[in-house]
Amino acid sequence: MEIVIKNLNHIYMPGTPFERQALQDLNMQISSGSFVAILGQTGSGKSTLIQLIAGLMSPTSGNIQIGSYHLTPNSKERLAVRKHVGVVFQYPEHQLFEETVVKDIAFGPRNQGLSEKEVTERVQMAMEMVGLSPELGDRSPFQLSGGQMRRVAIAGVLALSPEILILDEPTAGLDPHGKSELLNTISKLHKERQMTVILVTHDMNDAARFADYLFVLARGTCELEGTPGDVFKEQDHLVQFALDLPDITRLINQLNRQIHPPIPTNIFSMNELENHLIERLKKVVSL
Amino acid sequence: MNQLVIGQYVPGRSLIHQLDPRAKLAFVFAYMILVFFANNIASYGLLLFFSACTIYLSQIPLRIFSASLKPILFLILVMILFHLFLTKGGQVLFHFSFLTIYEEGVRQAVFISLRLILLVLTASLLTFTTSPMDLTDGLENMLHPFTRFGLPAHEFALMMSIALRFIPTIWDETEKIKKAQMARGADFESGHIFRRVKSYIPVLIPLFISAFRRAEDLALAMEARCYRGGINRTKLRELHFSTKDLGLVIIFAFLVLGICLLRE
Repeated sequence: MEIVIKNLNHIYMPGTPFERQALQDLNMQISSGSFVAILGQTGSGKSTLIQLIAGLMSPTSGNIQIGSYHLTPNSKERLAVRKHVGVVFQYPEHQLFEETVVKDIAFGPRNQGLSEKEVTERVQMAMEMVGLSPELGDRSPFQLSGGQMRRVAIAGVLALSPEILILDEPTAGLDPHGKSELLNTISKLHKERQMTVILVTHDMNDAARFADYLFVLARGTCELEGTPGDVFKEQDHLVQFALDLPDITRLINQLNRQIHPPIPTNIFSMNELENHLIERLKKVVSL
Repeated sequence: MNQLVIGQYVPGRSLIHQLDPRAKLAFVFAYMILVFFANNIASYGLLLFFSACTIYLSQIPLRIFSASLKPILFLILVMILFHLFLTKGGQVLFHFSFLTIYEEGVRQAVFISLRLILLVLTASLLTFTTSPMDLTDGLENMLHPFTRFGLPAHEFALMMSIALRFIPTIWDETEKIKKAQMARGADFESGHIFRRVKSYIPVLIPLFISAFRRAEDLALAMEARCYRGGINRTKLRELHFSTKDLGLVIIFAFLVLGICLLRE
């Protein structure tokens, strides 16, 4: 499902002393089956944007088109949209409530009105997707470790089999190992099931490594967009929005000061960089 | 926060905002008692006029005040209906089969609803113009004399300020969890009352868990800073009475005099 956002505005508590414009004339296009990252400082409007896309709020003005659905200020299609969009909020383990892991994951599919058999299938599928072993199914989610709890919560969203998956800082508070494991899982799901993934993150490394298109949000509008290679070329721009370069890009920039011809800056994984350097070395040696 | 919570502080620099919280607390308490002495059009008129003046002086939009009245609208309506149909006395104004409306009923209906509105407006004015910090500081100060009789004034004020401090936080948290469950297909709006209450279980359980977690964190953080309540604590901001606060006493004296003269 393609997402097209046109002139989107959102104002919180309009007409009170607490009025705040969170989104201002936002325009974006996310193509079907892509993996995009939304970057931006705290307060740039990221959370508002994902809640609007997920049909959890109505915009003040503007239009979001998701597949054949239109979300406008008075649209009645918000409920229908929720069936296609899954959202993993920040610290999703805070929403767990059931007695057992299986029951909690089954909450979403049950709400969709599926039969018991289908619900069981969905729960099994979701647990497998996030790598939870079946023995954990009967445990209370509150007895699990933090990383496992997060997996249960994400499984609860995946069990809805959404076509669009939105993740808001999914790795916050996880250790580096848990972090890369989780992102690899999501990347695998994206590739295997052609799921559209929208990743909201502060971490430039994650964005560069996993996303194929980036949006930089600042003050409620999209200030910069493009492939990671294009976006991270604009170092001066990024500094303005208080955003960093990925570690690997900084390394390449440093290397480029010493070597010529420069290494292309659209390399975002250590493997690729290694291969590139080995290729170069081979060329030099064969000369 | 997307909604205005009842009793929320609305920051401002108006005359009413600047008054000492103790003076405001005492005045509101006394004024609320005074409201019960009004019993005719003239005395209610005086109180309404006074309340309108204070609302104007507070520089807070009227819309916010009307929002604070919304929750008691139903109560007022019920009271009006009761008085209209059940209070007897005076002339008969309307008669239709078993329904009879007396003059006294109309009078009572109007006065009782006016009284409720006045009480709510006054209480709202206090919370709108006084920050929770000031409010609890004022209360602690006023309760201080009773520590001699074993009342833990400081702890009481601390409890109140923590409770007030966490209302918006827990409200935000509720909204967040509600949205997360809505994204998983939870439905909070349809169905009969029992189903709707039941549909809130997926919100309440995570909310309780997080409230306990927060409480533990807060206790730990306070202990880590060697917090000990009560004796010999000094305050960063001391409360001071000013001439404006003295003005409140004079205004109140005039109001009492006015009510005494006008009431029947």
